[in-house]
Amino acid sequence: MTVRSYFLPPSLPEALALLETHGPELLVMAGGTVAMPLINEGISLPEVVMGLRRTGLDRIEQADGTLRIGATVTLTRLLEQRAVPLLAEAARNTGSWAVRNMATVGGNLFTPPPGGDVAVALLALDASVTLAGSRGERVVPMADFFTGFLATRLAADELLVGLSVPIPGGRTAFTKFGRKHANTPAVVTVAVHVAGDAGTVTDARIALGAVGPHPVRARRAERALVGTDLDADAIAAAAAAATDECEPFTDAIATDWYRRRMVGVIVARTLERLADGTAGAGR
Amino acid sequence: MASTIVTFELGDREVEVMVRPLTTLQAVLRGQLGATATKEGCRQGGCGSCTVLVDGAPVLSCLLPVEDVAGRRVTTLETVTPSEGLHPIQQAFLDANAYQCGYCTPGMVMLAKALLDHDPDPGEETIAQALTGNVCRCTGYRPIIEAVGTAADALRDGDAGQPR
Amino acid sequence: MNVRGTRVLDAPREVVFEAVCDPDTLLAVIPGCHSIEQVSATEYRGQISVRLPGVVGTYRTTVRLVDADPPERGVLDGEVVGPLGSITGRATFRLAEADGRTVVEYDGQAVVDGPLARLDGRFVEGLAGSLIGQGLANLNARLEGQHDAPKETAR
Repeated sequence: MTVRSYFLPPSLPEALALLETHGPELLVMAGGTVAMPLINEGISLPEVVMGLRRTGLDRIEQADGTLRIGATVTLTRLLEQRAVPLLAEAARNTGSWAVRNMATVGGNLFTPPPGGDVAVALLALDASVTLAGSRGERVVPMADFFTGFLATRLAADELLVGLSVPIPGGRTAFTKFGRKHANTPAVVTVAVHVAGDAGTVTDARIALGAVGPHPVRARRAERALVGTDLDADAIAAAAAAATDECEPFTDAIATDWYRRRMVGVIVARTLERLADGTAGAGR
Repeated sequence: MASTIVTFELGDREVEVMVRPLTTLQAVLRGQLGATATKEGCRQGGCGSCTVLVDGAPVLSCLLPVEDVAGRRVTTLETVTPSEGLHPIQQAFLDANAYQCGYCTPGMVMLAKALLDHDPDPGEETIAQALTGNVCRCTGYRPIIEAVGTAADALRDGDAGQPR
Repeated sequence: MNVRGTRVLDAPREVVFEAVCDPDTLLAVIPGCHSIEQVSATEYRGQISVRLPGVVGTYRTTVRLVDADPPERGVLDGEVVGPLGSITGRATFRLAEADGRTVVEYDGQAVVDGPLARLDGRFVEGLAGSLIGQGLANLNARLEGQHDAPKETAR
């Protein structure tokens, strides 16, 4: 093992101070579910490591129609919260019980492709991310957070400290399609939020995972739903738009061809469940 | 490279180990404490054979730096096994032939213990869902799920004096 | 691995070509680059720090301009060496004038060696593409005179 020092700072200011001291050499981890496999395999050879488990960034609070989730809240606790069922459903579809006891909401935003299914739900919920660094705190909307392959707006001197989720007013649904029923990376993940009383869609957010370099909003698919009754034609149009606008890749889980084939199917099924009312709030 | 001393509870006794930075709980249990019931399978968090409980919750010891469990309570198969006889979960696995090579078994038993501590009357679906993180290449899972159900019944029937 | 792409920069060709050959510019625009020096008329050495989820490291970089046809075309040989292995390759870039702006086309092939090679090839390719993309975006901002844009790094 190459590690010279492993820090477990007891507060955010101390964590930021360590980040400033050690700079780009410092490997930051929260749940360890991404970093430790790479370290165990000898693919990652850090000399200094910082764990965030004790920094106190693990609170969940609800106020003023917003759910504030600390970056190191585990997926188990996300699964247990009732305020936003879509997030509970996304957490339920991630990993296994033991993985969820360790993996964190914040860490899910940095899971290498195809991963990060909670991130897909956060994108559909129009959440924002709070980053803290030497220049203070700033808030970045999820829609702007991912900038490329394994690239985000997080600057070199910053830590992700929390997420703010507006409690959704409309109906939500989530589907993760993988090669196994559980504890598996995604072939395609779909998270949807649809608003509109009396049957007509006034606003739609469709977030897709595993069909691009990072979770993306399917903007054309969303536009295909607005003003419709979420009928079969509208759903088919949205599915076709999503198929067209996504940028799937090939990896050990699935080929780009298969992902492109399945994104339309899974978008359609998710919207159908939403339309049927069988989606409930977040199924 | 400075070693540190980490103190934690293993079952009902306090242990103290000296470790290099970022040594995993799995390595400490198997390498330093001679507690080899916890297995090493993938070291990726994918197989579940390293499952132990920390403060009653299942975790993957291959991904957990031992420094993170300082002051916490760790439960392994060794600490669950009574000094004589078998824990009802172990007995149920034995009776159901819920193992062949036995490699996944400690992890399965620890998961089952955590499940039954949280939910004393789980249905088959709940049991199957709870075990999704534990891979078995031998049994096809059916006898394992049965064993957990049987163990739940046995524990609920309140065997007084049996360890939980 | 192969990395190729196209990007439009808001500056004339001559300016872009000169910027690509200027160590101070490279230091400012390459994500994670924290030192660079020109060791000869055509060779630069530097250090780039990469921070990915679960992986950090500092890499020694050597870049040589092996063929140049300014302001139209250049061929770079490069080597990136670090604790996780090495990447060795060659890239050709072409600059085309378009109304005072420059269309940059780049096309590179590289061989990955060491523990890095055990990662899914897509990761190294994707990361290289991402770094080049960010570098060109940073270059564009710099050439437009926006010197205060914070340099974002891959994490």
